[in-house]
Amino acid sequence: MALSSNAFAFVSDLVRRESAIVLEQGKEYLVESRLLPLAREAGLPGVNEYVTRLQTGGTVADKAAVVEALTTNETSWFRDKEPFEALATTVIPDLLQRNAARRKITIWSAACSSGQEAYTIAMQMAEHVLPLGWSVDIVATDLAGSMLERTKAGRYSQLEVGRGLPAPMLVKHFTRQGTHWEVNERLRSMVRVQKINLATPFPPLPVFDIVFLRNVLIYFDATTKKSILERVRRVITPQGYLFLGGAETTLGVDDGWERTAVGRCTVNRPRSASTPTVAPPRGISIPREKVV
Amino acid sequence: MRALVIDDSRTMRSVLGRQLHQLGYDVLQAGDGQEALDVLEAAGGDLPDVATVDWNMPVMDGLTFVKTLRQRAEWRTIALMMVTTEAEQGQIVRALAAGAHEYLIKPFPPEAFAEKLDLLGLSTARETA
Amino acid sequence: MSIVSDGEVVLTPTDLEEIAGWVWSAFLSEDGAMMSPLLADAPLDTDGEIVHASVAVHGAWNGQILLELTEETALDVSRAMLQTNDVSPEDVTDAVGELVNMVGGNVKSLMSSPSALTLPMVMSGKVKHRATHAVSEVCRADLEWRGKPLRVSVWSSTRENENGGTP
Repeated sequence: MALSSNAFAFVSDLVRRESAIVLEQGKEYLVESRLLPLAREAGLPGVNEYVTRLQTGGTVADKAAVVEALTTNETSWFRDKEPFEALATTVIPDLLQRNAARRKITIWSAACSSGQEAYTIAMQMAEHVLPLGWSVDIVATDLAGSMLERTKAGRYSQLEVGRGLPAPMLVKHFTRQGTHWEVNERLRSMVRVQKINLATPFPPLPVFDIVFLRNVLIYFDATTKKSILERVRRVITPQGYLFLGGAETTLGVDDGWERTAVGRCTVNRPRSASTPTVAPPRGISIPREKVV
Repeated sequence: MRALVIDDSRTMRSVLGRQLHQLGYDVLQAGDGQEALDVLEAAGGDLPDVATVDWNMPVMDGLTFVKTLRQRAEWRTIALMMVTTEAEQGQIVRALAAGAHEYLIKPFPPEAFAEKLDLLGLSTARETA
Repeated sequence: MSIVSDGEVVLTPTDLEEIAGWVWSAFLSEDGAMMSPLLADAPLDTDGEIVHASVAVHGAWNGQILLELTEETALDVSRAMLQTNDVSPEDVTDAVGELVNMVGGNVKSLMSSPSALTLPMVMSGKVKHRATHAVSEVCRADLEWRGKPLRVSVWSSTRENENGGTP
């Protein structure tokens, strides 16, 4: 039996709330094929029946399984390349000088999703920083518990590791387990997860040398964007580096940042100023949405 | 841009050829490693920028082709991407050690293939003439 | 059913479904039609005119991976992969062979290594794969694509595997 529109609406709503990925009309086949194995495991004849059970009495684990089934295979490693090249050519060498006393680099991967960005950063650190005996702390945060679980597990399917990950990095930093690949302990030990809703005041955080805030601001309104960027400025070092997504900018949004080109990449660094910031108005958080 | 697709399956040559065309490549084909060497000899100075290499082929398999190719200085500008069902970690290590620059496990979505081609520009192992 | 190797479960029907799903979705989902597990009561009638495509594995593990589908489905699959309606019998043989090559290669990579994969063999007609004293079916997935049934099965050369595989 074909997926009912009610079932599709429920599932796409759940996925949007939990992962910010939007399943548009036309993706019914994706929902059917990805959820049918779960329905069968539950001893149910089809996806409609499975969704009905979710609606009436689904556990957190059930819902997390649904979100995971529908959001795997959608993201890639070294996404957009340039920020990671900038890390290797410019940012890391700068920090190796600047942090010479601390011998530590602290990084925030905000809206980390299933963790590819955090572990990509970890791979760059493993190549350029760890061999020098320095320590690295990568804080990977997201709104959705299911995404944090995935990031913590560091376990990716054969299809997922084929997305933009250089083969030499794959064999060096991952170990194959059946049809999946798991990040090695060396990478995993650099990454810790934390649940954070960017639109609300941040919990206590370290002061970061580098912040990755990519492709998430675009889903907030102007006021919230400015508020987030102001709050990020409070948890970044005065010479810290902020990376946004390729199509995003701080220009016209928050004037507390200076933009510099590093290769083909724009990095944002706190503008040196001592004027106190005005507390942002409390607004309604608008869910970020990524269209699949 | 030129590409050489090396696979004993006509179907796979067609599928990869189509994807490469869509990405703007002119496509040459070969059904095994020996045929691929012959194609390269015939190409003279007009070499492909990249070769996709299947592993399991008759006459000369992909690993042997890679090793042979990497011994010829004039062919070292060609980026080599294994495209194969061999999915074990050890096989990937072997292929990279033999001189392959990239490795793509079959099956793969078209986006993954395009991303791997993009990565070849990063490969520091690839020498430019 | 699942294969037990050295007391460890290695392959399940879900694995087969997953692998077949990757192969189909990578190369055959242009119109959104995906491979899905067959729940309906219409599995492939293997007594009819069926296309049988197989690859064999030799080495630390010995066995075969078999893909069975009707001639009509084989034609559809080839047209979808080659993106043309104009396909010859040789095109169909090659396309179906490549599909079982990809499924088989991925199955092989889950089993004991090192092992080698043979070139695919494709036959059609009233051929039936039967268990014998030397080979038995250890795993099967009945699947459907565009409403049509097909079957992927894994057969193990039991005696060779019991003896620890061929050197």
